[in-house]
Amino acid sequence: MSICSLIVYSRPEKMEAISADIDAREGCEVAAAENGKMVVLIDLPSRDRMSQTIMDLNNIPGVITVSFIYEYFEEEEPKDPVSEEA
Amino acid sequence: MKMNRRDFIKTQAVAAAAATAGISVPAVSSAQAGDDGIRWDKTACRFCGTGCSVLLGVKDGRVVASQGDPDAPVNKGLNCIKGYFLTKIMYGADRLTKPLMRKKNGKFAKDGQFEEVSWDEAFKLMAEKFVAARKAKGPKGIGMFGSGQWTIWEGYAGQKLIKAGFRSNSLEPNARHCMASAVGAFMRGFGIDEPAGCYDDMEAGETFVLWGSNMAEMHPILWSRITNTRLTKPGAQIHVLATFRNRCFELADNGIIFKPQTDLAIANFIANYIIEKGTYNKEFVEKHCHFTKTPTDIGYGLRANDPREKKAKNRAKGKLTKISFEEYAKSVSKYTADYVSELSGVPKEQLIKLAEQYADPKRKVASYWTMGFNQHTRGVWVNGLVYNIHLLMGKISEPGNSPFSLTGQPSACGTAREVGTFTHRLPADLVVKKDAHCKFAEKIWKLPAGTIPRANGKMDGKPQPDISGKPMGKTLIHAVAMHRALHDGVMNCFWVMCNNNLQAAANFNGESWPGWRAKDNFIVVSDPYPTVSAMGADLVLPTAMWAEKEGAYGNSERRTQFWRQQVKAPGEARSDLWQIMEFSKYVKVEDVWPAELIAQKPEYKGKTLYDVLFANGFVNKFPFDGKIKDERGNEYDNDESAHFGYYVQKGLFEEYRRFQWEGPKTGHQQAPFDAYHKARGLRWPVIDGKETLWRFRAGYDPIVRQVKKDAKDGEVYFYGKKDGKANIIFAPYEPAAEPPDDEYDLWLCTGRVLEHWHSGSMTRRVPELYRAMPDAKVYMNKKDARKRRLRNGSKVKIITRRGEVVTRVETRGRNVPQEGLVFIPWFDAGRLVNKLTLDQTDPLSKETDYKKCACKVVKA
Repeated sequence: MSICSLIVYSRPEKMEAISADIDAREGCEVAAAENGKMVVLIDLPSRDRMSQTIMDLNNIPGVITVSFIYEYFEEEEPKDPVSEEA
Repeated sequence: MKMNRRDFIKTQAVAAAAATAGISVPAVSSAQAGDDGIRWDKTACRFCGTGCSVLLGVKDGRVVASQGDPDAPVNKGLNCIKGYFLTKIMYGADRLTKPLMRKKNGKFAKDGQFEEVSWDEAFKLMAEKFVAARKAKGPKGIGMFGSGQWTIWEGYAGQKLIKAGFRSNSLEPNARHCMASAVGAFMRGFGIDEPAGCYDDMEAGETFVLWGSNMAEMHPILWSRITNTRLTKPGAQIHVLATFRNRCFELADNGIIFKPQTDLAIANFIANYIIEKGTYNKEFVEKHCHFTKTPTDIGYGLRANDPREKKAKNRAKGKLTKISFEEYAKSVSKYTADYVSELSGVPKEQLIKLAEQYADPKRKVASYWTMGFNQHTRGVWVNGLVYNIHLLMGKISEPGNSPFSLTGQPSACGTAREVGTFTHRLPADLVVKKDAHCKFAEKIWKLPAGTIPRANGKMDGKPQPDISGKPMGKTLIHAVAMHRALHDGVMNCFWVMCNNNLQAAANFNGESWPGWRAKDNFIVVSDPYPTVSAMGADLVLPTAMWAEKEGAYGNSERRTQFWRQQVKAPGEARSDLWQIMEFSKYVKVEDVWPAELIAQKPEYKGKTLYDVLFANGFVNKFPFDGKIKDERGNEYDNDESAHFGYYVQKGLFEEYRRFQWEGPKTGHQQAPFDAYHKARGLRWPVIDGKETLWRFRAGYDPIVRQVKKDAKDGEVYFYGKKDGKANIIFAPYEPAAEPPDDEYDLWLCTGRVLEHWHSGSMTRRVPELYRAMPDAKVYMNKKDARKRRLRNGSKVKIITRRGEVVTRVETRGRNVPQEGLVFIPWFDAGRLVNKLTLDQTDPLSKETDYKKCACKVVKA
C-alpha cells in the first residue's frame, strides 16, 4: 500500500477543472482547494502505481507544479497479505 | 469515532499537506508517528543547488523512509519528484563495489579488460603513473577533475593533495561547466563571490524575472515558493525569458521568447529604458558604483588556430576601463525598443512590460538565472548586464530586490566556489596569482614558502624550483583546456571524481574521447556506478555516496548544511574523502618536491603526502571515539574517522575555517563545525552565531560595520572592493560563435528535464524516473517538423559539424521551441549529446556554452 499527499498548483481560474480531473482519477482525492492550491491525497496498492499517477498529475495541462509532502508505504508481501483494516 | 489505521494515515497525510499549503482543513487531528524503531535524521538533498533538507529514516542499516524536512527553511516540508525518489539512488542494481583495472595477462594494459583489484594494487599503480607524469611533464602533466557534488571536506582535501602535495594547479571542478560565469561576474562586479540576497526574497518580492532558467523543472521547490507568492500576493508578477516555451510559461505574466544570444541586447535595452525614463537611483549610483566598460571582440574560447580566434581583436581580454555615466548612457542608447525587438524577435510591448518592472523605483524585483546565462560565450558579460540594471535602480541587498544566480549542483557554492577547487583559486576567494595569498595558505598548511605553484610559476619574481628540473611556467589550466591537453599529450594522468565528465564535456568526438583513450594517458574515475566516464577510464574506483558518509554542502543562498553518515556503503566502496587521503599515503615528498623545497623543512624528509597534508598536527587533532552521537542520543558510524583514527571531517573543516577567519579577505566566515550538526544550515557570513540574509547592507550584514565603522543602518557598502563600490560594466551584444547557416540551419540547445539530474547517472537508476523519461528526445517546433516532413515520434538524425545522434522528434511535449531551434536534454547515456556540441567557452570564465551551436535534423 502507498498513501501520499501532495500540493498541486494551478492558476486559480483553472483550479476547478483540474480539481475535477484529479478527483476522477483512480485513488486520487482533492482534500482541500483554495486559490490555485490543491491538497491531493492518493491511496494506491503499490508505490509503482503511485509514481506513475504522480507523473501523470504533473503532466495535466495547466498544472504549474507538484510538491510532495508525506508518504507512507508498505512493500507488498504476496504470501502473507497484511490486513489493512486493523 | 473509530478510525482504522489506513484512515489515520490518510488524515495525517492531509494534515501535513494542508499545513504546508497554508490551507485549513476541517476536523484534522495532528498525530505523531509512534516509535517504530526507525532512526530519523536530517540530510541535504543530493541533487540540485536548492539545498532541500530531507529527513531519512533508517532501520537495520537501510534507509526505509524519507520525507521533506518540515523544519527546513529552504523547503518547508516539500519535496520534488526527484527528491521523492532520492533514497533509491544508493540502491541501483549495478553499484560498483570493487576497484576495477584494465588488464592483460595479469598486468595493467590500456587496451585490457576490466578486472577486479585491491585498493592497494589500484593506488600503487596510480602513484607510479601520477609521479612519473608529474616528473616528466611538469605541473600540467597531471590533473584532477572534481565536483560541485563533492562534500566541502572532499573538495578541501582534493585541493591540498593537488595544489600543495603534487604542486600542481591542474585542479578543476565540473562546476566550471556550470557556475564559472557567475563567479566571474561576481568578482568583476563586487570583488567577492556569491549572491547578496537569499531565498527569503521569494516571499518578499513582487516581480520575479527568470532569465534563462527553467526553474519549474530544474529547481521545482524554489518554483513552488515563487508560485505560492504569485498566487497569494496581489499584484505579484512573473516574467520568463527563454529560447523555447517551457513549464514556467504556464504561470508567466510575460512569457518572452528571444533569439539565442540576444539576451545581451535585451538587458542593455532595459538599462537604456531606465536611463531614458530618468528613474535610475542617482544617489545610489553616485555613492556605490563605478561605471566601466569591458574589451569587446574577445573570441569564443576555441583552440588558438580556429579562424574565429585568429580574427578576434581582444582574445580573452577582460580588463575594465573606467568611463563616465554619460559615456555609459551613450553606449546603451543604441539599444532602443525598435532595434532590440528586431534583433531578438520579441514584440516591443513585451520588452517594455519587462523594463517597466525594473524601472519603477517602488517595485521590488528579483532576477533569477541559471545555465541560460552561465553557459554562454558571453556569460560573464550577461551576468554583469543584469547587475547593471539592479545597480542602476539600487535594487539589491534588501528583501525582494535581488539579482540571484542559482546553482545546479548541491555544493557548487559550498565546495567548488567557497573552497576554491578551481585552477586559479584557493579557499575563501584567495587566488594563486597573488603571492601573498599563496604564502598565507602555505602558513596555514605548514608548508615551505613556495610550495603552491603560482599562476606564473614565480615567487617573489623568481622561478619556483620544480621536480621536473624545468621552470614551472604558466600553471593555470581550465576544464576544457584539460581535455585539449590530454588530447595533445601535454597531460598524461587525469583523476575524475564525483562527476561524469566524458558524458558532460563538449565535443566528445573531437577532444574528450581521443584524449581519454590516447595510449600514453592514464585515466582514473571514481564513481558509485559504471557511467560513460567509468567505462572510458583505465582504473575505476568504487565510491561511497551521499548518506554513506558524513557530509557538508553549500547551496545557492550561502547556506552550509551538514549531515551524518546514515548507512554503510556496499562492498569495498569508499568515499572520495577516504580515497584522496588514503592515496596520499602512496606518494612521498621526494617523489614530487624538489630538494630545495624540502631543505626548507627538513623534518618533512622521507614523509608521505599524507603525513604532511593530513597528519599535520591540526587536521588530526580532533579525537574520534568510535561513534558519532547526536543530541538525542542516536549513534552513527563514521567510516573515514574510524579508518584514520581521528575526526577527519572536523579537522579538515576547522582548518579550512582558518582561511575565512584569519585570511586576507573578509566576508566568508562560517560557524564552528559542531554548530552545523545542530542547525538546519546557516547562511554565511556567520558572526557571533548569527547568519546573514542580505549582504553589503548595514543592519543586515555585520561585516559592513567591521569594514566601515560609521555606516548608518541601511547603508550599502560593497566591501569586496577596496573603495566599497560595485562596478557597472558596459558590454555590447555580440553574435554567437556558430549561428545556423544554409547547411546547418537550426540552433541546437541542450539542457535538462525534471525527471533526471544532469547526466542521469543516479536518476536513470531509479526505475520510476527512468520509466517516466527513458530517452532523450529532440523537441522541435511543429512548423520546423513539417518543413522536414517529420511528425511527432519520427526517428531522426541530429547532425552537427562534429557528430551525429539518432533520436525521435517531440512536437507536443512540455517544451515548445521557437521556429529555428531544437532542444535536447543530455541525461541519456545512450545518446551522447556532447558528440554534437562545440567546445566553445566564455573566454573570460572558461565556461562551456552548451546552448548554442548549429545543427541539421534529417529523417533517420
